[in-house]
Amino acid sequence: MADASGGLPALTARGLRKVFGTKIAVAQVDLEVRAGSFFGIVGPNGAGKTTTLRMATGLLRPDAGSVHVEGVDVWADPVAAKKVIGVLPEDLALFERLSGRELLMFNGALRNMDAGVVTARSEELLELLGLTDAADTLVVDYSHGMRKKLVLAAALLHGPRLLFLDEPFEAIDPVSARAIRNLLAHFTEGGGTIVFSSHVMELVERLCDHVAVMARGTIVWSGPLDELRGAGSLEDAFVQLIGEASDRPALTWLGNSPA
Amino acid sequence: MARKFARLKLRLVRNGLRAPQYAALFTIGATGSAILAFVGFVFLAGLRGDVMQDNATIVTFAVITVVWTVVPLLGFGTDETLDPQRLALLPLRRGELLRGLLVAALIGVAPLATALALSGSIVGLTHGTASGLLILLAIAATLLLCVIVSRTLIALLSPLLRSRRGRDILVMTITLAVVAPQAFRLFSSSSHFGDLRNEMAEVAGRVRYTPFGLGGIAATEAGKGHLVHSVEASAAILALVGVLLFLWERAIPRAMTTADTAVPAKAVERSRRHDVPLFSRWLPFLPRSRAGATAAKELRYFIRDPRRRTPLIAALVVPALFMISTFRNAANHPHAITLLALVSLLPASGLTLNQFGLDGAALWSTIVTGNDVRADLTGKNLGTAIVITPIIIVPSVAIATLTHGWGYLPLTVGLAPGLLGVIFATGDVVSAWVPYALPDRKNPLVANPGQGCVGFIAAMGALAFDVVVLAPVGLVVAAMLSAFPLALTTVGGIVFASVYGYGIWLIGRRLAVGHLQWRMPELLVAVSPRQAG
Repeated sequence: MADASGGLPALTARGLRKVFGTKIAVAQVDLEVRAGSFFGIVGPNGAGKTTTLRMATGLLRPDAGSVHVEGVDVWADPVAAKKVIGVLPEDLALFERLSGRELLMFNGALRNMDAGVVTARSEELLELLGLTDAADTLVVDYSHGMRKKLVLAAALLHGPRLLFLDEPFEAIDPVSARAIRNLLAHFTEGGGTIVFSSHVMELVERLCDHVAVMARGTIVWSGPLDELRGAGSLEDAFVQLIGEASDRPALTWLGNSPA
Repeated sequence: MARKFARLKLRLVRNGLRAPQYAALFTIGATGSAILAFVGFVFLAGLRGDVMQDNATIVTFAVITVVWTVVPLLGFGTDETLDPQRLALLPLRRGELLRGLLVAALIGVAPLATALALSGSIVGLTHGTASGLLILLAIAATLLLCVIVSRTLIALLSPLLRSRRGRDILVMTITLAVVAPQAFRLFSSSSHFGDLRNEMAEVAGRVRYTPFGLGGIAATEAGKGHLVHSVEASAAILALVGVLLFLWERAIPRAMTTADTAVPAKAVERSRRHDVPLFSRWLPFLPRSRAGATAAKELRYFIRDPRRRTPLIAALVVPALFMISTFRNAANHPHAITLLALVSLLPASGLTLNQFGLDGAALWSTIVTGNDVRADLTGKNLGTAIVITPIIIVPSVAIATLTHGWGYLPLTVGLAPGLLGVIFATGDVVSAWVPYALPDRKNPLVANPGQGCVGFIAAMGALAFDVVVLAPVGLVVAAMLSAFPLALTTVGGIVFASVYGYGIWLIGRRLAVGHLQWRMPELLVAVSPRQAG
């Protein structure tokens, strides 16, 4: 299970599969993410990215397959696995009637962290993410972007080694986005690993060193970003891989007259 | 346009049935509605020839109309076809929109159940063709009034309903409005209490001159052969419907364009910077652990979340009513009546039956921090125990004071922790085996049908189980009271109840933990149905 550099891979998924009724959400996912990498999972809507991340983080039980984070089996030893990961899911359901500050304290206490450490880290994270002024406002009154930043703060609070981020920059203002990008870059420089899902190609191209392309519930390509895009852009390589026809006929009636 | 809305509504119902998790809830909801409709029908039909037929019919029509007025405001029983905001971008004229929404509102389980229940009065009251036709008219007019009054009120109140604070205030106001008259009635009129016939006459006398009583009057007058009076009452309902339609039409444009949060956010109080957030300084004994944090979170929720406050207020009503009734006859009671203050523990069981359902989809955030269900349940139980403590102590002290039963106070208060242990054990087991999602209160116009029934069945089952498991404590204390002096019974009873309750709590919690420890992802799906896709 050792990767090319000799260390344990941060994430290994083998034969992951999930079916909802008759719909195959994830048919077969095999993935290996090297420690210290910024790993992007890209794919069209409904490709199975979110389902894969939920199975990898212990939130959705796979029908088949296994996931290891930092060498720990997520489904055999969930407690040990959850100590080393931080999660920003797509669905931002939170304890709405706590304030931002209280929510961070709650998360720290659930992990049995020292209250002093949680308080100090919370203040730093709130400051960095521009949430200090709203820290005592109830989460129910937060905007979508503020909630996302708060969940990111909660995901970072315990100093995880592996971060799972599902569309982390969606609805985030440019100033906060830059702060988050710097923070994530700092995280990977320190040896942390990020698994990041998005369908914004420019973002993936800018941030990630490795990518996996998902379509119809399977990984159709995985490897270094530069290898995938070659001389062109990631978007071109992606469209070519997914096999979307680029020469569909134009809608001749569009823009002519309303019905 | 009306036909298109009707097709849309039927299509949405059919599509809802295709998702297994909604299909089950829909079936339960539909079965519950069918039972209510059947009961209503049989009641109204079975009144034929009864002395209180007129009054009971008027009261039944009025109760149904009041339910239609109030319940949709709380977010139950409505759906997305009735949300004008979803149609804001379509180029529809106001009249078309109104007709479409009206047709969509008239199609569904609730209008059908209402029509079935009310049609019992055709069997109960009809004397001849003309009277039968007029009763049918009265039923149709009442159904129209029911549907339109609920839609109009929602449209008029939509600016309020779309803000979080507005919904909170509304939920609290309606709860108090429902509860207050009960307390007042019990306190003020003792002579009529328990006499159903007089009660019916009194209530019918009050509602017959309100819009809620018109439907019943139209039906009963037709039944008595007073056809003109019946037509007048039905005409009055239809005139009222006309006024409501006018108001509804005026309110639709505003309902379509009101933003979701109209009230600016306000920060929670946090007096001293060095306070530890989450942990109130009033509760310094709470451990700074997973269980302690869960208890602290639960306590915040009891104060801030109307979904918790409402059952809490309901749980307070029983001891309050009990105290009022004891107060009225204080001198006649034996001192041992103080023990009855323990009754106030039973409604508290409702607070513990769906403990993870109250967390909802946010449960993911506790799952990703580890799978310590034992600590989570302990914390939840601890939080509830802290809330319930005053609910048991205040009535005990008050009743002891009123009846001079001070000698029984230590036994009463001392038995409470043991009994609470049994209630928590049941609550933990039910929470683990029968978790269900609560409606999403962010959008008052959308709700998942059927959940009320699941909750009701779980609550009744748990209450019955509590009574059975609590019986040994009651028997032991009663036996000791008859055989030994009070002081000895106090010590012996408290020791027995505490050991017994603690043991049952450990067993209940262990069963719940054993069931949930490896099933947290499934629990998450159960309490947040929309997540399964």
